[in-house]
Amino acid sequence: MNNILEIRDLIVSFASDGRKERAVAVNGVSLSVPKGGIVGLVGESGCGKSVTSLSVMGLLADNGRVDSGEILLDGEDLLKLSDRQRRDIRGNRISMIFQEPMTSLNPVLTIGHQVTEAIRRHSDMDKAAARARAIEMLDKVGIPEPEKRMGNFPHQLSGGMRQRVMIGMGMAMAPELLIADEPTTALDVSIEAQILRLMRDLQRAGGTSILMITHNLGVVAELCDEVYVMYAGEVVEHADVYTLFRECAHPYTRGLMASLPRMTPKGKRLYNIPGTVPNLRAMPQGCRFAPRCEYATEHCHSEKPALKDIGGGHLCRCFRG
Amino acid sequence: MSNNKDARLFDAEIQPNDGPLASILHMFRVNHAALLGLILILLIILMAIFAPFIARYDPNQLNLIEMRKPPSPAHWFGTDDMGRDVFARVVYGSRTSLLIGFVPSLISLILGTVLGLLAGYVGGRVDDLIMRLADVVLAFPSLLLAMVVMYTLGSSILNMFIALSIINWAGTARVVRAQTLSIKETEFVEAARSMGVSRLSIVFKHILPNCLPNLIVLFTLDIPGAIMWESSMSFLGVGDPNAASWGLMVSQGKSYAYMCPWLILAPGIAILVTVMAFNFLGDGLRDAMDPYLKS
Ligand SMILES: Nc1ncnc2c1ncn2[C@@H]1O[C@H](COP(=O)(O)OP(=O)(O)OP(=O)(O)O)[C@@H](O)[C@H]1O
Ligand SMILES: [Mg+2]
Repeated sequence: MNNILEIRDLIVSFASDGRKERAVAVNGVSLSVPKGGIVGLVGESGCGKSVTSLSVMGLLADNGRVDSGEILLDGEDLLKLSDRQRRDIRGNRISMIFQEPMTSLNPVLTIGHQVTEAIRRHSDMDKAAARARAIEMLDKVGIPEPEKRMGNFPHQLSGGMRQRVMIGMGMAMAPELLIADEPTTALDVSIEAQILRLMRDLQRAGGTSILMITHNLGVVAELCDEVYVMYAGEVVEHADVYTLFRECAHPYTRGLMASLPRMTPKGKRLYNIPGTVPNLRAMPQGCRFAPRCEYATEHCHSEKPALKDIGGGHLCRCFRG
Repeated sequence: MSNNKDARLFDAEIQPNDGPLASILHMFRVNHAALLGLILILLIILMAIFAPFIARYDPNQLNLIEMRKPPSPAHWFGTDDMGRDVFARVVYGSRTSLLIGFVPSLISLILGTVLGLLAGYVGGRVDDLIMRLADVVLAFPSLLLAMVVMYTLGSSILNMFIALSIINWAGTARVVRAQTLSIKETEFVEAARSMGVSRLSIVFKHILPNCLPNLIVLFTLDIPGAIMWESSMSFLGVGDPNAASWGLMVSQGKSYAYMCPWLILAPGIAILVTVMAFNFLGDGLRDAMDPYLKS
């Protein structure tokens, strides 16, 4: 097994009250995270990145369910496990970091309480040992005076500090996989760079693999080894970072690249992909991107392209190849 | 955003606010009514504990020679129609009133909290069942409900506890349920779940502490309510006839209200002061907790 995480043909749908048919948010996604690797998952808002990661965690909302597919953690299908077994994996073998560091810590419990709880949940350390471990983790993620911070409430820390706490908490059990769902979106740029560096350092030191969810290609370039690009619940392109940035093949990925802010000549407006993401309940028949694609032909509107290898493991879902 | 990122990261953003306790202390410094309420409550509690040292007479000692005497140096608040010392009865009555204030409020608080958490977190049928039951209790005229309970079970302090608990749990359950519903959707609950924390721990360790500010306020405001209920029921004749309670004193003194106003004034003012003290404190706590009630 070379992959710590392997998702195969995952289909996830949501029920909404008053409707019979379910809305399919993730439609046949396959992706894998190699051991020790950092894999990026990018795409516009609403394309199913969070739903994919929550399916891996087993934390889908009550109205959501995995209809089919496999989610293999080191070869073992998580979907076949009981709730209890999955709970034992969460925070232990797989951890997750969320987008909003301001709200992902409980406001009425101290930092120490929360980190210690996470450690004791998955080990049989006593209080003192868990506390020592918690202080060690806070120190590791670069929190000054960790012992003093243990007694602080979340509102006493800045956003960057809180995200460090979340990372420390997630890394405390040395998980095999860390899922980071837009961990730096809510932070400003200088803090973002620090957090990304911290994640890479931890990944190098501890051998944890990372699935990095973002809609920021800059973050991908900075951190990831390979990338999956999602559009409307499907993977549309997959390649290693160098290939993707040098010769991305899918028009959607190109659109994303073009909308990256960079040194543009004065007066030139930033590129914007025209149109909006299609509604989950009204997906185009053919290629899901066709209505927004400048290259779309009759063929694209009537038939759906498959995800095919266009050379050296570079996958693309487009007829133009 | 500051240019000096290190300062921003490490200390500049650490706020002086130290949580609910600090804001309560601050509230007492600004809100003098709440401080007065707190002091009065402490005095009443001391009075209840040290009643035998404060009152010179046995509150139940009959003295048929000294009936309905007006206030005097010997009997500060006069005597009642059976010659009992009214001051002693007011002092000892604080025990009954505090007991009636605290015990049923505590029972209904615990009951309402557990049921509210259950309804909010589990949802579905459990939620429907609990909330419909609460609706019934809330829709029923509470005085009538309390009187029915007292008539059926008999007039005793214990049954008064039961009656008041039945009236009060529903309001608490509603508030706790609403809060549970919003807290369980928060990111920190999702984050706790992502750490593998069990459902039970999520409910009691993560959701319940966030309800506490609300619960403290509810509890403080339930107490004067219960004291008023006891007084009303005793006045209407369904209270415990053997407990020396302020409500009972007013009820027994009402026939002599014109001739011997001290018989109803003394216990009446005691009720008023106690209820107001708790209300002042409760309102102050609510203001202090306001930022925490919303989050
Ligand atoms: N509980 C739910 N019930 C119904 N639909 C849902 C639910 N959760 C997600 N969805 C739908 O699934 C789709 C994918 O959502 P998802 O949160 O995965 O997007 P995302 O790619 O993470 O976007 P973002 O960048 O905004 O985080 C969206 O259309 C969303 O409306
Ligand atoms: Mg998302």
